[in-house]
Amino acid sequence: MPALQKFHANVARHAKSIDKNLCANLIRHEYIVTTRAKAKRAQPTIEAFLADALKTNESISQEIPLNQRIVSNRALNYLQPPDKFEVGGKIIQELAERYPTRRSGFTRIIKLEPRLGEDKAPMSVIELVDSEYEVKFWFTAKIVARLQLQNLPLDDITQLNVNKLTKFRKGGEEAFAEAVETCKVEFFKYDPETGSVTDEAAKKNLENLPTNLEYYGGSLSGTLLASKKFKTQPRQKQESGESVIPPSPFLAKE
Amino acid sequence: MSLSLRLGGSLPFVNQTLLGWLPRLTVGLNLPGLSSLGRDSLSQDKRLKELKEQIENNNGQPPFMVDNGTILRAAPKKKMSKRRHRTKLYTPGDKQVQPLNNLVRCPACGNVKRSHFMCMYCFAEIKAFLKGKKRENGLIKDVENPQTNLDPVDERILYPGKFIQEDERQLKKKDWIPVREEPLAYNSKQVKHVKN
Repeated sequence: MPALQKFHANVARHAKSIDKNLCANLIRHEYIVTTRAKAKRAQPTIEAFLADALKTNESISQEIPLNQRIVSNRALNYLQPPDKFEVGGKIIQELAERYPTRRSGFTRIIKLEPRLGEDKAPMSVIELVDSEYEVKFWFTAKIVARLQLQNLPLDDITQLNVNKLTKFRKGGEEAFAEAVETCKVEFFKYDPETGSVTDEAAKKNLENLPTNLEYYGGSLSGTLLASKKFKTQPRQKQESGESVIPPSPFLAKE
Repeated sequence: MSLSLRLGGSLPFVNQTLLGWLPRLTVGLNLPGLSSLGRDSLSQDKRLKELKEQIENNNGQPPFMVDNGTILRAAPKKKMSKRRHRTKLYTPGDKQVQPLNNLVRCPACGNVKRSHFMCMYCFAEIKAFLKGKKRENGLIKDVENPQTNLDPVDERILYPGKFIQEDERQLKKKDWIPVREEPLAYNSKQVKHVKN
């Protein structure tokens, strides 16, 4: 039987408003735990909205009062009318300062385990990057805190994540170092005055070292992009400045 | 069923020859009367006498029983029908329960987690921490409900308790809410490695 109604208007309208509400609440709360389907569907809409709103904001003069700036920002009309001034104000004041050069990649999705309810729905976190309440930032800070308490140097992947997290953040490295110290106290019961872990359970937990310590400052460090499966050799460095690849015959000859 | 389990009904018994393999009996049965052993009751039980004879005839070794030195395993009660068998083995793979082969060590807590997924133990910790941080910064405002800090005597006079049904009490306990188990510490010998 042919489908009578191919486009479900009510479903589409509902989906749109879900995206809109997720967008407003994500900006309000900095991170949201939701099902993976919703997070994945809302993400491109949120990205496009934020990029548009921030780009429009740049073209508006910053001298005029906030309410007028919100009204004259055409991109903010996407938001529901009750959210417009609260969320729009946050975008113009905080996010514009946080993302001065960013044009995309405002959000991140982290996969979580399925929900413990009846439906076992796969869950995820959708969060704004470079925020104070960024889950990945604090998770990485916890990893670094653990490695520091175990007296191990950082492995490549952690170092890469630290670099990524601190690259565009304002005062990123200082904020990260501070977060590591906070994580030591908060999650590992570290006493900064005596310089030791006070809790017995935390002490025992810290004895659980990584399996292959070669990745932590050993022979395998610095091999993040090298294949562990095949024995490959790094490409030889050219002595002379000339390229090994012959020049293309289609290039115009001088 | 082994002889030792059958004897479980009559509690106060023991024999000197039985003492050697008593631990095996006591582990499963957890006999309460073992400390007060009566020699009189030993002579009364026919089965014990029988067992004693058998042990003496067998050079002090216990006679053959089903679980001699082994662990009894669950046995299927009925033959699996062809349909069930084939459904279990050959239906589309998404209907079968797949083993978790992607278990790794969480770098932040050292417990087991699935690779490419957030460690839920760490996530719970971080989420609670961030919530406290938001509360500190004034983003979460706790509204105190009116009359929550009443004097207990006043509260009893103002709001005499109504009779709470058993099911309501059960619901209020909230133990029906599923709670995530605490993960085990990662041990590379306990997980399956796809590649070595």
